[in-house]
Amino acid sequence: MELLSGLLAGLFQTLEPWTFLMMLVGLVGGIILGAIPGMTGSMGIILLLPLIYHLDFGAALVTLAAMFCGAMYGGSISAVLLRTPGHPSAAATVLDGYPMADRGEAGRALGLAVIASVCGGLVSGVALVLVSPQLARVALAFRAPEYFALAIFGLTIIASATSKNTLKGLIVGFLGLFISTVGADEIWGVTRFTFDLRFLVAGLSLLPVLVGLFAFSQIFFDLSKAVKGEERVTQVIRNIIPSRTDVKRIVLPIIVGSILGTTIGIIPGAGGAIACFVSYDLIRRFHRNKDEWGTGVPEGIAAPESANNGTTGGALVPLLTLGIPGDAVTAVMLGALMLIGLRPGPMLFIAHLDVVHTLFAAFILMQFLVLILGLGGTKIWPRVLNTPRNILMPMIIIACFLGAYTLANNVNDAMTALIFGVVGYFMRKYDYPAPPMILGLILGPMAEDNLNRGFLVSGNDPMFIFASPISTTFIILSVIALTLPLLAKLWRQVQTSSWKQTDE
Amino acid sequence: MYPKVDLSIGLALIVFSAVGYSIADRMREVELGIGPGDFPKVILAVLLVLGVILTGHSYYHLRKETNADVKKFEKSELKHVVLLVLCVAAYIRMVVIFGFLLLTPFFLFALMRIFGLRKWIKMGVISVVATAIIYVVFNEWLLALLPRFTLF
Repeated sequence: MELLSGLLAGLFQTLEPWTFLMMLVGLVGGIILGAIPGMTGSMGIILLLPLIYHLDFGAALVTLAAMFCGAMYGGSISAVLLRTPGHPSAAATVLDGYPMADRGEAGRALGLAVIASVCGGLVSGVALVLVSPQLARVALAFRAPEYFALAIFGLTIIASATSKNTLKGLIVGFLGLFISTVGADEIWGVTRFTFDLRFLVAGLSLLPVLVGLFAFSQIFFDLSKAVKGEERVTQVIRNIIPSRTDVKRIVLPIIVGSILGTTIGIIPGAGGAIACFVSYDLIRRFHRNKDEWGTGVPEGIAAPESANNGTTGGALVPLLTLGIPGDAVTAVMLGALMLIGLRPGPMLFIAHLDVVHTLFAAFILMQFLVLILGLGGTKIWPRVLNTPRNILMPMIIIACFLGAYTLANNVNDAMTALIFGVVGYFMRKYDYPAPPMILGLILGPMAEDNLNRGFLVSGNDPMFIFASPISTTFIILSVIALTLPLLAKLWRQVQTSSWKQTDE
Repeated sequence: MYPKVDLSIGLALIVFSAVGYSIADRMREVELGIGPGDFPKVILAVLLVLGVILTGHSYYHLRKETNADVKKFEKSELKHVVLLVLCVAAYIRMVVIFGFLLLTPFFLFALMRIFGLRKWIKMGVISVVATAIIYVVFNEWLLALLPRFTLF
């Protein structure tokens, strides 16, 4: 009952003109950025930063979530029309979306993608509303050992899940942890690793690092593509509303995909890129005509699209309740929220319950807006893909500069962003993932503070980490997260060698 | 795979964490709880181990793999990136002297050129109009203090 009245109050808050307008800005901006290959939800959130400084907590959180949802749907547009997913989460949509568009049914493919996306988003929204308060209640009992173990768990899971190479993910994560120690120590006030540089005494601000690693690096990475010129959309968009036959065919894939996506989204570190392929593969495996898949079947669009949009609400669950991001976009979102003074975690459900309820209500509402914007704009969004990159990119560079500069009206922050942009560019080039660095930066102070508290309370006994079942579980899960990719790789090698021996 | 690059990164990581550890080791110690150098020491020790593993792993691949497995870096691409980075760095340094309103149109013009646009009139119009719009949005609506002309 309390939840229902909270949701109703949240709905009224969402319908406040300014909050509603910002939600629309987030959604439309997200769809546009998500549709442009290479532009991700992470970059969209960074571009929103100068705007969200001026918003109250509720409106800021709603705007960021709208950007996340909009970008997730937007990725399907270029996947269907250009055969290039807007972001990795839409990669599986290409497999059947593009063949359908290629035989002159682009409108049908886009219509199916919208319906599946909205259903996935709705299911994940319901899960967000129902699961988050329960998880937050459990997390309220956390003390120093649990928080320290949680920080370690968050770091290991994102290091192993966001990278093809766990070792590289870990290196980047620990470098992020190290960067978080630069500056005055919060416990003893001692300056560390500043080398007498005054601007380092306060430590490195999170925002310039975010702008550098996720926005500048992306621009540098895409520079060569932009210079060469890009593909243009030529398909004619018609018959957007799915037929009755199509609806019948996509009901089951949508149900399975939505539930699967939501579940995968809740697991920290696993995101839409994993969910879309798992869902696609699962539905295909049990389909009567497996051979048709890949030629443009409706199920092949519905399964991945419902799954990747299902991860949106799912990924917000660990973010809001534990302060641990579910994927790269929510890692950036966590940084953005901390910059405006909103610290996600169980205390959010005590100190800012109204803000949480506003997000819950807005999240459900924004799915219907995606439906309206998606179906209504099916003829408009493809035109976005024809926006010349050589005009778009310079504008994004200015937005990045302003995002970093307006933090403290200081050009040093903009310069830091540029330096991290160069670092991020080479990291991308050499397959070192950026999200673990951000997580290391965010979780570093949390880990150090709680490690210190744990030692103080236990009288310097390092076994305090295993003092509670929850912290022990987190440590075990961390070990599993680290060893699982290694074991999987070993298993693959053993299988490959046994096949070779059989062939011989 | 980039085994050569990974090998260099691994070696650099070993040196970096060893030097960092020795700096952290000189920080004050405390009897109860953790001192200012203890947490960085743990991180740097882990980084040292990871650096050793990366070095060993990449050295193994460098010996084992053929040239076909090794990805190569395109130098022409790097040239464009260097030009863009220098342009942005110059803008950041000069914007506090010449101000946002005066410098940004030239910066946008240069960026569009770097990104391959050749239509001069279009570039000029977009540069001026975009600067004006951004200035109004940030300075007038969002009340952000954009850099002003301070040369004299």
